[in-house]
Amino acid sequence: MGKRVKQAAVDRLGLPGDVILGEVQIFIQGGQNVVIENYRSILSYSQDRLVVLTKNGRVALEGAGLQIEYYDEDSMKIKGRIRRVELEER
Amino acid sequence: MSVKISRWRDGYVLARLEERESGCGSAERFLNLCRARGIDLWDIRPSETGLEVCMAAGGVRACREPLRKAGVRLRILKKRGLPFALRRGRKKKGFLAGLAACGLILWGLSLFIWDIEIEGERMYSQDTLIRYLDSRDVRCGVPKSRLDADSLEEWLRSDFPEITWVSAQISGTRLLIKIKENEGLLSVPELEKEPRNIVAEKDGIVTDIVVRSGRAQVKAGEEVKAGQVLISGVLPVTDDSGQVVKVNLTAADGEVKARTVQTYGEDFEYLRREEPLTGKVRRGIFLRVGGFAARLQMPGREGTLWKTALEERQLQLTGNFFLPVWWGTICSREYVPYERPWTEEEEEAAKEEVIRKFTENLVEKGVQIEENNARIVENDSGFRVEGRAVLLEPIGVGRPIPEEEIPALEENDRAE
Repeated sequence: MGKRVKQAAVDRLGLPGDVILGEVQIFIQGGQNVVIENYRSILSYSQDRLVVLTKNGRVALEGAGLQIEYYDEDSMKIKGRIRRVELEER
Repeated sequence: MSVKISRWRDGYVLARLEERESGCGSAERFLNLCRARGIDLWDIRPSETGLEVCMAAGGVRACREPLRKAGVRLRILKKRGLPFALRRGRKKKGFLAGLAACGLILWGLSLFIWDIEIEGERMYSQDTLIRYLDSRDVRCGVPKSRLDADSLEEWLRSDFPEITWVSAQISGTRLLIKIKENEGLLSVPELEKEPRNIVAEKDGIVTDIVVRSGRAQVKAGEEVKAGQVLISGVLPVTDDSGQVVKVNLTAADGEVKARTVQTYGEDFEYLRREEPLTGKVRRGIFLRVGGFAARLQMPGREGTLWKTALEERQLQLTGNFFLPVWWGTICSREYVPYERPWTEEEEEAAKEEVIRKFTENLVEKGVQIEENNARIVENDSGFRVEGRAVLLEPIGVGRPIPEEEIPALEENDRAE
């Protein structure tokens, strides 16, 4: 199924984009925790910056004392002081 | 929490990822490769010399290939968890002896019952059943080998007729007894066969009379006295001249409802005792191991009064492995008692309570209340709540027929 068909199904039928299109989901809890779902891989990681690759681009997290509490096939949880979350579309 | 416990149980290492001398290593690539191979890494934090990661002890061997591909080296910094603790303690004789003794004690304790749980009781209280079990030598601390679940089930069934189904099960150090109580009638009430009258139990005005057997002696609307015959079991057979030729005796049966008046009351002292809390609290803890108990709590000042509540818990290793160790918290609150006269509102509340108790009893018996009035009467010692209720209730009770009620027959009649 083409991307346009999937996009239309999401728009018209109200289907969840993360399931149909595999779009990234980001949950931020009070600037201390971030959960990223549907990511592909870790591109770069340091104490103050983490960049992950997603299906449609990149997600960059900036802050201080960033730690990956866990990461698995579907999601990862990052702890630390989060200052900025940036989405770069391809 | 359970994830942390299982990680500690299986053992894990804290390791640092360092770049190889070639300088082309990538820790991020290593993380991605591990993820693709299902190697669990957690608590990842960058340090000055590289990334620090936690990984399961079993994952160290599995991550050789990702390490090589990513061009990084793994330096183990700390080994944590049960397998490493056991290995470290292997050479310590005291530790091993302690471990063995602990195992031995646990094994010894597992041979006894340390908790009895009863489920499904409704009519019999748990206390009654526990006391009964105690009388049969089934209590906490009894060896499991001396318990026979089958005979226990039989005792309960035979000694408590209301219990229709019992299941006793020993699981771990716990005795679990499930019971089901009878919800229907145990026996059908037998019909009275002996000749009898139905007489009034108390004074009242008959409102309704239904005779199933016998001869009605009163009509609806008639006033009756206690002891008066309502339905007679004497059935005289008369001839055309109205002379009694034969007397049949039967067990009178029927329902007689009457409007009765019942008075009730309760006396209250002039003063009532109050026990207000001062707000001072003494907290403490207690520990009970088998028959020995220790309590740690600051003593209260002499002459002070305290209300004490205990919260007890039993130590359990798993869901069914209970140990004879109980601990808990003690909370004592100081109070200063004094006596004071009742206020009007309190007297009113006491009156309502007396009425509530009175009507509750009657409603349980199926009596209809037509009118109910209560008042407060002050007297020398305090006050009295006096009530008067008009009830609609069955008043008939069976009584044997007295000799004098049976009409005598003439000699010649008898001869016939």
